[in-house]
Amino acid sequence: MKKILVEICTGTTCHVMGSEAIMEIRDMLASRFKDIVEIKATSCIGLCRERNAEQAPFVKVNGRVVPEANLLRVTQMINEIERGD
Amino acid sequence: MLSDNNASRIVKKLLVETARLSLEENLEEEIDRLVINMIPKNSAANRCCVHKDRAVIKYRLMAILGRSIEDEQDELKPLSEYAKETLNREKITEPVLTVIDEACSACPSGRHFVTNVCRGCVARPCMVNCPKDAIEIHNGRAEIDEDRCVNCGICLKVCPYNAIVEIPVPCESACPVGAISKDQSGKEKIDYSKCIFCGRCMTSCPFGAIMERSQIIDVAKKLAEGRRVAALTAPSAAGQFPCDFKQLKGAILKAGFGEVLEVAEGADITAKKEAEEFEEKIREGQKFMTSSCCPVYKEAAKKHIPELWEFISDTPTPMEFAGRRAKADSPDCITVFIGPCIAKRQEALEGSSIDHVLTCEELGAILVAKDIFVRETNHAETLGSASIEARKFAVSGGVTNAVKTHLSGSTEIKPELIDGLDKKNIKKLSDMCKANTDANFVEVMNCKGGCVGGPGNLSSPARAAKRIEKSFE
Ligand code: SF4
Ligand code: SF4
Ligand code: FES
Repeated sequence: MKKILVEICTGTTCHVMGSEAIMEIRDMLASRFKDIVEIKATSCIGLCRERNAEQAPFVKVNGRVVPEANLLRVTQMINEIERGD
Repeated sequence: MLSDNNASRIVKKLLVETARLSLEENLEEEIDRLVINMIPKNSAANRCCVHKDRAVIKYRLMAILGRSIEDEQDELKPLSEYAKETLNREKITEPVLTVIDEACSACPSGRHFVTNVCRGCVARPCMVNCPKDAIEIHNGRAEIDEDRCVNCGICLKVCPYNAIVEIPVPCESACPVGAISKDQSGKEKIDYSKCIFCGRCMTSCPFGAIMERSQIIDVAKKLAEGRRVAALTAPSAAGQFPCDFKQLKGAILKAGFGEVLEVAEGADITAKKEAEEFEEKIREGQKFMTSSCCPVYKEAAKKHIPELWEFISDTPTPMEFAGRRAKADSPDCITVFIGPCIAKRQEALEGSSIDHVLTCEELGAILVAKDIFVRETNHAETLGSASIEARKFAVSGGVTNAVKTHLSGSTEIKPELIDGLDKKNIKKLSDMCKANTDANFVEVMNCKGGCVGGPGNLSSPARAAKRIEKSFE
């Protein structure tokens, strides 16, 4: 299967709003994902400036934006992408 | 502690919004509207309805304005009036925490409960062993009679299927000193004659019902007015943002602080004096001496382990030394300690050299409100002159290491580390006073891992420790 790319924003706004906790996501994923999910930390991806900062932290999964991201939301998005939704 | 939950995210949003409003000097005019903006008419309710959600937001904002919810006299008093009072206040008052009864869900207290894993076995060890005859079998399954049950937990231990669980009240089970309990209405209340300000109740409540009384508005107001405000960064603050310390320092200056002093410079003085005091006291025959920089620990000794008091070092804390130095350099400056700690608010109230205490989370909210991005900020020119040992005060074992570097060698140090103040360690400290102990220097930290594990932090202890290491290598 093609890799799923998870980009976690670690810019200041996203960091303050809690992105660091999402960095632990690897441990939360079902084992079938372990080899196909790639996790990357990025610097500010600009969304906090475009939209309002209160929707941070932002995570992108294969380019799809997850606002107010947390472990649950990001995992759901990974599932959705795997199912091809 | 790193919390990834909605309750803490809502608090952070509110901190950012209120910081922004006060930096724009719009707080009084806009704060009532903030409640509606947060919970608009058609939003999906977290609790029973939009109105309850709004009420909780209002009380959260009161805590952010630095008020005690318990003091509310008039439910109709708008936030704008509270904001006005905060903007005019010069003095901070006790206590440092407040319970939002509207948010407290009155969790049923410490009950034992039979789950459907129960097989209604013939042996019935739960029933046979219950000292209060509280268990009966109905429809092939054990049932606990709540009126008789005394929560001894024997049934839970004897069930061969692990079918019985204990449902805890999160804040009560987190509290190491039994300072939080229910009032008649079932809502939690803090007994401040017992509380040691560790903040565990606050970080453990899944409803976010316990909050700090913030001083973010007091600080933001002084920044907006252009007053001379000095930031005193705790050693652990250096690891809390995704950048090195010089950049963080640059960001704090950009936010309007007049200068940034490292509390680690105060830690150098504390370590030196503590080393001298240690050698003197052991020479004079004292059994052991403990560190003194963690205010939660000192509060615990004062209120719960009085026999320990005489063993605590008399040396003032790094925060106190740093504050004195800032006031000596410029007597009319406002000193703001920035760190991970709730109890430092209490320590500041009792001393005279620190005007305000912000958590790293609150500093973060100010940076976000001002659109300051740490990694895009210019480095501050100087790093400061603290020693590397003092800069590592924030990680468990750091105090001992710093003290060691100042010892003359006349007395052999036999250190022991109390890493996290829980019920067990409180008992251990009390026993050390009574019985013999091998150690002669005891470092006590309330937070596991040291201040990098503090409740007002933004980073995980491991990452924070790594950043501190990298910033000062
Ligand atoms: S702050 Fe600590 S000591 Fe005080 S009530 Fe909460 S858990 Fe207990
Ligand atoms: S270990 Fe540090 S952060 Fe934790 S309570 Fe003590 S001084 Fe505060
Ligand atoms: S900090 Fe994450 S989008 Fe800007």
